[in-house]
Amino acid sequence: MIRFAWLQARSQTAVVGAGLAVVAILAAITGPHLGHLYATTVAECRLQQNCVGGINPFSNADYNLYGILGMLVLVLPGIVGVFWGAPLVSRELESGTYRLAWTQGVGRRRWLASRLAVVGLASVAATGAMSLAVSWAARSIDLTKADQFRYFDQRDVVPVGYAAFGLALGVVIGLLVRRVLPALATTLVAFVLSRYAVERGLRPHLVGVSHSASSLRGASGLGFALQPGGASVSLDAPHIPNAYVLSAQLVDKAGHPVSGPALHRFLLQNCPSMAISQAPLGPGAANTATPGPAGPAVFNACVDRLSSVYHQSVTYIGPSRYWTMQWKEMCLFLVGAVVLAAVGVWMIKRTPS
Amino acid sequence: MTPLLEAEGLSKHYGRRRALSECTVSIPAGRVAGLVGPNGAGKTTLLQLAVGLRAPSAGWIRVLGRRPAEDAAQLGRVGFVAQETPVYPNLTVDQHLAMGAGLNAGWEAALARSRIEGLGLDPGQKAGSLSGGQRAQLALALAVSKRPELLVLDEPVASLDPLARREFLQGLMETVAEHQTGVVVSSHLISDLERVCDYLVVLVDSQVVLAGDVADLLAGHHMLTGPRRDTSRLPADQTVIEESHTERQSTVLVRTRGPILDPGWTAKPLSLEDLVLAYMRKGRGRPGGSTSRAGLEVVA
Repeated sequence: MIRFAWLQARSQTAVVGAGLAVVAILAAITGPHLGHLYATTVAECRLQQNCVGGINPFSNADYNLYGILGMLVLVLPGIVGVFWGAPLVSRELESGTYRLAWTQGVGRRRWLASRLAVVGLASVAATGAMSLAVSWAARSIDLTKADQFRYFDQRDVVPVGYAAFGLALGVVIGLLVRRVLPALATTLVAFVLSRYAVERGLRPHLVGVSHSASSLRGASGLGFALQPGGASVSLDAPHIPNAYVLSAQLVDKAGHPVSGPALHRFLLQNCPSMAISQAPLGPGAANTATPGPAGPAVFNACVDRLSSVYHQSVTYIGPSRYWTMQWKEMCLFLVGAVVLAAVGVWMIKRTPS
Repeated sequence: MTPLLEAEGLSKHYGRRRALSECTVSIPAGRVAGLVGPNGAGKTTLLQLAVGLRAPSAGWIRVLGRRPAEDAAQLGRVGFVAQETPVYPNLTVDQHLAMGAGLNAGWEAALARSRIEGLGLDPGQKAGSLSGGQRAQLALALAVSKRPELLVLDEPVASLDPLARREFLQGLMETVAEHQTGVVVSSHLISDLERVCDYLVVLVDSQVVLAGDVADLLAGHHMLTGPRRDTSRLPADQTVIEESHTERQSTVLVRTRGPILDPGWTAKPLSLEDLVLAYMRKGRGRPGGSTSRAGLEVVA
């Protein structure tokens, strides 16, 4: 049975195998070179603590290549789900070969379990190898960018979980939909949705968060917005190297979030030129103040005063949690894959009657 | 001996469509049974129930004494050639044999190889490029080489040309003779099965209308012609299956266990095809299969 399952999986795995070989060769060629560049520039200056500005030893071609390779790692689990998982049963049902396959001397459940095992192993191996090659070769770039969570789902072990999940999802959808093309499309949509849901809904809760206070001085993208009934300060969340910033909020000294009217009062009192030089606040009037009309000096003075009372409270996941999060999210998807596979094996007994 | 196939009150609905209604039939062991009926009569449904590809809506079915596809052993006892003989187009003939070997405990590799050689099939050829006849032969080789006790074939020759038809049925008969395999084979044409089967089941409009040993069926039916008369006054043991009258002459197809004693009748020989066609016409004329009449009882 295992041999036959492999026989049927062979041609499709050949395509992915070829792609994998190309990626591995690219990684093997460029990786050491990038590593050398990193070691002689960024690593050096970080050690001496004298890095000037955004030091960048890599060429655009390097960034582009690793952008593309990262995308490959990102989409491979989807490809596995759509092109390996979805047709696995639906093609048998659509072409009628299930009548051949399921009347041999092996029960349907074992038939599906064996095929899932073989294709599942191939999926996990292919995705794991691809992710490993890219993660290894892109390490120098990743270390330079110091933004590891941004590439979280293109690196290390999570893609393996995604691939196993995508495969099982595709198989179950194929069993339900019973036609190849609708199964492919449905699997794609369901896979993207479940990835998105986990990324937005579950990922931030997988590991403990950290909090920090960040001063408004030197914050980037700072601006005031005056609206009817209040004022607000907009500013970019601070960049913490290799951390995953979940939220940033303007709070007062006691740590309470600032309300619009309170902020407006503060501005009226402390930076009258910022708040009053604008048209009077009234229904429908909305103005934004940036270093524009009031001049940079006034603006900076206002920021100084503001930051003596308010600061940004940042919630983030620290750099050290990266690997815990990788393993946890991978396990989450692996458990999902096992559950879906069990559902498929249970369901197949009732298909197609 | 355990019957090849036994069913009682077997029904199958697809949604609201009735594919098989309260089918009760028993095919004795060691037979080559033909399952005949017009397209859409429920033949495929009955056979798919027999091999466990579908589950009954009501009633029960036993194949070789056990529930279809109950376990791997039961699956191994029944060889199935599905309608339009599906094969994997991307796999070669050889790879199909490898599949058979991997999936069936009783697989006889030597038998499979000799069959493929005997058919002149190229083992390296992709199954997708085989002709209809070759594909059917490959499917039969797969079903036979697992050494089943029962072969179930669903319209195996429907899409074949007359020569391929003959070759296929010949191959089937050789297998049956050699391995003593029971067979249930369906066709919408009785002429395909006349030469091969010794037991007949006629299915019309989702119900069994006739079942029995071919020789018994032929001996028990008579085509009578004679002067015009009222058929309601025939002897009690004679059941009218079909009748037609001209001004002076009556032609009646009767079913009876006893001999025809009335000297007024001329008994003409009856072919199996005539017999089956008469039952098919009769079955069609029945009011929508709504009554649950026992299969063999025919009310004149």
